[in-house]
Amino acid sequence: MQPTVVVTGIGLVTSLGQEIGPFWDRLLRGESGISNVDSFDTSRFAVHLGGEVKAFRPASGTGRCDPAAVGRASRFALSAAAAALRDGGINVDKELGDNWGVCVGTTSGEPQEIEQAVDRQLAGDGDGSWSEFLERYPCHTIASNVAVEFGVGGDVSVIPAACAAGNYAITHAVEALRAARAEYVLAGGADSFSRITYSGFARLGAIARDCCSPFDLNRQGMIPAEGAAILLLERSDTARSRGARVYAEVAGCGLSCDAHHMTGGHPEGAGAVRAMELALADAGIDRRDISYISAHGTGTRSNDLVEALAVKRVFTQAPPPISSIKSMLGHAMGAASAIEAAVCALAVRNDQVPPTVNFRIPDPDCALDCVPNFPRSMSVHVAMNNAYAFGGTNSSVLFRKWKG
Amino acid sequence: MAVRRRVFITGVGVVCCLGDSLGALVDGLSQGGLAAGPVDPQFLDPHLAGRNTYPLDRPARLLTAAASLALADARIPAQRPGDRDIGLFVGTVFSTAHTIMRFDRQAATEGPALVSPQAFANTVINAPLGQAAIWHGLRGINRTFATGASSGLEAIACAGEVILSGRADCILAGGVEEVSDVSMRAFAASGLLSPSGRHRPYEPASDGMTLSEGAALLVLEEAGAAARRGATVLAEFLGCGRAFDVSQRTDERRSVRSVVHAFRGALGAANLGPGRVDAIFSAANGIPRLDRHEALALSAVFESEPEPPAICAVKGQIGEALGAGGSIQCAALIGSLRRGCVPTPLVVCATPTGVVAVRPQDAPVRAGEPRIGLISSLSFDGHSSALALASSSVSDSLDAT
Repeated sequence: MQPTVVVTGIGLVTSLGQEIGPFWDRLLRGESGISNVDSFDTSRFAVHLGGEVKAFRPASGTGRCDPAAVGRASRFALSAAAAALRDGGINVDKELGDNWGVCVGTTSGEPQEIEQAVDRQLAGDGDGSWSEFLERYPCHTIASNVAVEFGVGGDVSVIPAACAAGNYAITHAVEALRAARAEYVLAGGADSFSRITYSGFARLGAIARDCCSPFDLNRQGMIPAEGAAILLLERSDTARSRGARVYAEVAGCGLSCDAHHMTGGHPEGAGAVRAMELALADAGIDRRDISYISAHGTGTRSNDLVEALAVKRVFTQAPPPISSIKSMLGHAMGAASAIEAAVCALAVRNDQVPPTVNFRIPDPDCALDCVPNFPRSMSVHVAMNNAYAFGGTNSSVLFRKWKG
Repeated sequence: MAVRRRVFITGVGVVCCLGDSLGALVDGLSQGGLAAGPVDPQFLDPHLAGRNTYPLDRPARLLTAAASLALADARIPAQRPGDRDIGLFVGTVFSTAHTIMRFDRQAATEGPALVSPQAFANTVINAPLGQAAIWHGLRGINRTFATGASSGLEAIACAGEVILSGRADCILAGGVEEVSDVSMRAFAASGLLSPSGRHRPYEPASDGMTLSEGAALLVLEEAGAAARRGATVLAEFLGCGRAFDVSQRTDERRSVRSVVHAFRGALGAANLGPGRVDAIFSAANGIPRLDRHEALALSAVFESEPEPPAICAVKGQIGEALGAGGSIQCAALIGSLRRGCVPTPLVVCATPTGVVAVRPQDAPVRAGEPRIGLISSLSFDGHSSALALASSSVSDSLDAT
């Protein structure tokens, strides 16, 4: 029998705050982390909203990695990792060692480093900073920086899987823990706000002008955001022996590829269905036991349509409640599904689920119980975290209530 | 007790500066020529013929071509809906950075309304994987890896582990990297590139590395699945090891320890003693500090063996292809196992003063056909990976050991 993997620490950097308790309360109240974009000039865009982290206060770490020498996504990941370790009751004074791993998912890595290089070129200040670029840009540095900060000597990797990257990193970590290649893994996602991402989604007509309202008939689209979430994952036996508080078990993971379209989902949700079914099979859980789904729920017409179709194909009898916190946070890219994984773990532990806000008129083509506008107190036995991404990438990860 | 699953390599696709086949790669290495640099169109374009390549940027083209070659080599037909799911694991360092920079420059100069939606699709780091998966209908588990210059080897290592764990039966795994103005400028500014262009692995006087590009993918297949379709077994995946040096190569003792850890991890996962290793296709690329760390690690692990393994530093000839490097080394090792010889072998050893020396190829190396080999990758950041492969001729006899 393969070892059980549990979540014993959570660290967050979001547009709705960094502390777990206040973040959770604000989500349940349906507050919004969306505001006008500050980090670059949006005057040439028809849209102006974003989910920027405007009051970033880095959680204190060890100081071994200089935050001034790394990119913004790395700074987010360092802070979230420090918070997860503190939350998990891990002493970081000494190096964590060879039995630890780090796995961070991302969409764009450190795109601001590219943007700054372009700005320097356009300003005629060409070649001065390329050495720094090499140290800051390649996305693997995000995990390396976390490893350096906390002295992690094992499997240290970044999994770029676009907007499903958090789930991908968690899956990679679960595999490592089950196979005893690591005893503890810091796993999650990080992405910084980017004018590249914003330009691209704006060009696709995918960004909402007024608000993000997933599954609503008149939904306008998604809202780009940024942030990070890191989960401390370990085997249940180590968690038990050190007396750790357990949020939830990571019961199963499923990944698939549509092999259909770079930016759009499969029209019948084929890959999304396979990812859900693989996760259920991996966990040995019957679909009727899923209490809640954290939707990918970007708020674009096409995503929500295909996602609803896929969910209804898997849950043919009665689909469970499914909400999208992107309605409040925006879409934090590679960090999104890691933040949503944290939300699933909290939902399972607290028996509460956050709402989909800005919901007014049901879209008959997405007819699902999207927990409209108000949170719900309910028994959450298993939460399913779904995330989909460019490249036809699909992921589902299941979080089960931990009964010790 | 459940029988341990086994993973065979049933196909290899490689596109690099030496050519577009295992034969061309091993021939080129054996002839000792220097060929680091861009991939000639003649090695790339024929493998993309007859289809619309417009949506694919250069990394996607390199990867898609390598996948074409790997699938053909494994005699896996074009995928149709309902076929078994084939996975794709890909390592890369810069991925589509050149495309991303061009996209951002266009948005900044011409305005965001004028950028290309197609180019935007290629700005995600996993875009080459997505494009190759669409081209070939690869619907299985997929993962892009970023672990610096060990990314490609890490993708293969993880694919083998995922198949061993029972989560997949068939995965194409390897790496891709393009040489672009982004990678060239970044490495040129870092001082890691050889000004003379004469990168010499393990030579203390070497003045750096030369950037290269390409893609290589192995078809890793669960043994039963390979047998059921009558696949030809090229080699067996035995296991891998990995470690991270938190000093990021600044503390020699710690750096060497992490490389040793990776080598011993691979040997342990493969259940092999160091004396069983015939050949090592090493990470050395001509950057003296990293080469020295690897050489010291090789000495620590293998120096007490009566017959040291032959060391083959292919990057001395084909350059440092970063995310593709480890996967091309794997291809070269498999080609060598198939051919029964190691191209341009070296022996690396530590002298009493701690200086690493390299003996030329007339020095004694293990005689006879190579049967078990290791591949190693080191990143500048601190990642070390090692992977063990066996030739198909001996993989059966390993059961008894």
